[in-house]
Amino acid sequence: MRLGRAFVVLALLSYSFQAVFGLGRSTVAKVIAIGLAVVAQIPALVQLGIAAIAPADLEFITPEDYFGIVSLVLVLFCAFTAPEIIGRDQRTRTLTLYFSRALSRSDYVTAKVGSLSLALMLVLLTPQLFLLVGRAVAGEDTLGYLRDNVDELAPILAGTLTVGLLMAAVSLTIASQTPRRALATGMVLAYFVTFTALGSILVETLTGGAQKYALLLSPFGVLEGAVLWLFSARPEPESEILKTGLGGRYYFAAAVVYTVVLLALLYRRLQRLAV
Amino acid sequence: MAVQALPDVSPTAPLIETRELSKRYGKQVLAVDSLSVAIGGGVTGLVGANGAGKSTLIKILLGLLDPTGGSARVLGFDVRSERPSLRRWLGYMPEHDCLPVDVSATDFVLHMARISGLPAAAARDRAAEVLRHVGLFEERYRPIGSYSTGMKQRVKLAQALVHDPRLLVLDEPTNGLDPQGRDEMLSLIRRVGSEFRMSILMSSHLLGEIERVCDNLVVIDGGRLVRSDTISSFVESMAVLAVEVSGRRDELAGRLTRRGFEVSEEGSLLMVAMDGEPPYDAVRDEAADLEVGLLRLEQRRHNLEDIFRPDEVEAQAE
Repeated sequence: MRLGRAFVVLALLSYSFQAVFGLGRSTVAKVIAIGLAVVAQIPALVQLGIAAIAPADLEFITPEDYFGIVSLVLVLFCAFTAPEIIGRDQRTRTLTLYFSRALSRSDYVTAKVGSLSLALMLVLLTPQLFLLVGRAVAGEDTLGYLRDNVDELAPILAGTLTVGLLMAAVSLTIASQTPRRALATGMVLAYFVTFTALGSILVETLTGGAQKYALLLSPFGVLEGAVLWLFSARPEPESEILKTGLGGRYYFAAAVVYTVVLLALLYRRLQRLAV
Repeated sequence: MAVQALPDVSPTAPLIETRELSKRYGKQVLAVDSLSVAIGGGVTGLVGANGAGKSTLIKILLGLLDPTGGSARVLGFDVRSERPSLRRWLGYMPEHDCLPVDVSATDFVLHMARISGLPAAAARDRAAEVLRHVGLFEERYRPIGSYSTGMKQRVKLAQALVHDPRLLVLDEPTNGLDPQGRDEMLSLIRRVGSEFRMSILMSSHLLGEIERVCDNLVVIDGGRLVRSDTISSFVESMAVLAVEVSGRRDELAGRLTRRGFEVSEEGSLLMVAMDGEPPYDAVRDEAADLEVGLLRLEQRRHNLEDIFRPDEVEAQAE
């Protein structure tokens, strides 16, 4: 008996998801990914610890701000894990074995992007859920708080999904350009650092219409703007998003467009790879 | 979810059939040139010199490369339009290294079984079975990076077998193996063909291996088909009769030549070709007429290496 295409993609997704965290591999492969995932939980855990001691003095991190706090950790996570799950197949020439089976290039892309997205979502979603529950427990009426704030779940999930998909698409598309792990890691880091800095510089130096759209070049700018829009939240007073004056829906649309374009580029890269 | 079954084809239909198949790279390189061949069941050897087009042909048949002309069907599936369905029934063992180093053979073959569509429990059972069949026991739990070349080749074969394909495609399966390893791999391939009852297409540049393992032979050169036939037909057409006489050897050779037989010399022996009328009576009659003693009359056959490298055979004989 043979299962169909969806189960095959799920099998590759599951295998790749385990590879993200180094499961079934050496200790070294586990340390970086799991270590970074743990680091991304620290702000939430620290807040919960303070809340347990002095809840009245605490202003909780809001879910829409959490991405900005751990964005650097997420970039490091992508830079170290993306080469592992896509460059490795090129390095070991295992792609030949995959594509000589009933696995298409699009199935492969779906599985790889899905696995890294899920991993990123897990890393980002867990602390936000901790904080939501933590705020409920810190208050006087836990169940009442949860009932009143269940609406937060939808934007938390949507925001986490947007961040996971875009960061996975960017990282995997860049990492797929070379089988060399160190080079791929450097390229992913360089992209995020360079374009974030470029966006910030352009916002500070340009004026008028050009300034309005400048932050669309910055991956962090796009994601921050998209997440704020999903939460219907206002940017901080000193935020670059506020300086540009561009509506949040444009950042969300840009996130969607970037994701689609990057997935197309990733698919094209795999089509051109000789197996 | 339903998976497309093998097409309902006649049992006598060829497993692999190409018609005017061509593959051109750019404007200069014609890797496969109007190749038309039909390959049936059993173990078939694919031979040719480096650059003959073997690997290109294999990749086209696997659906990894698009041909630039002609058509090909494998197991009844068109290689261009029905690739996903075709690949469910193929197993492929590439020539090059293709295994991850930090995963055990068990985990990797299990993963390949899942990628081929086997449910989890069936994949586990099947992975264990094929690893046992290829001779990997306790070592299957160690990372593949710690394996010898022979063990890695066995893992490559195991992942090609794990999903019970109907056609196994092996590209230089003894590559990098020492003589003992080569023997073991060839025995394994022969056993796979008989015990698993699957057809095999095996590419090799070592004709001795082909002759030992294969039932059929396809020879290509410059992307073109040279000949496709059973192994026995190849070697029977080159059977010879070795004749040793007590004297007047050259006169005997001349008389046999005048009677239409192809005669060559090998040391003190005359080698009379047997691809036409049997020469036994002619040799006896001419020897009797010349009044020479007939010391040896022995049927021999060339092996494939004699057929394809006659210059080297002659040089060695001298």
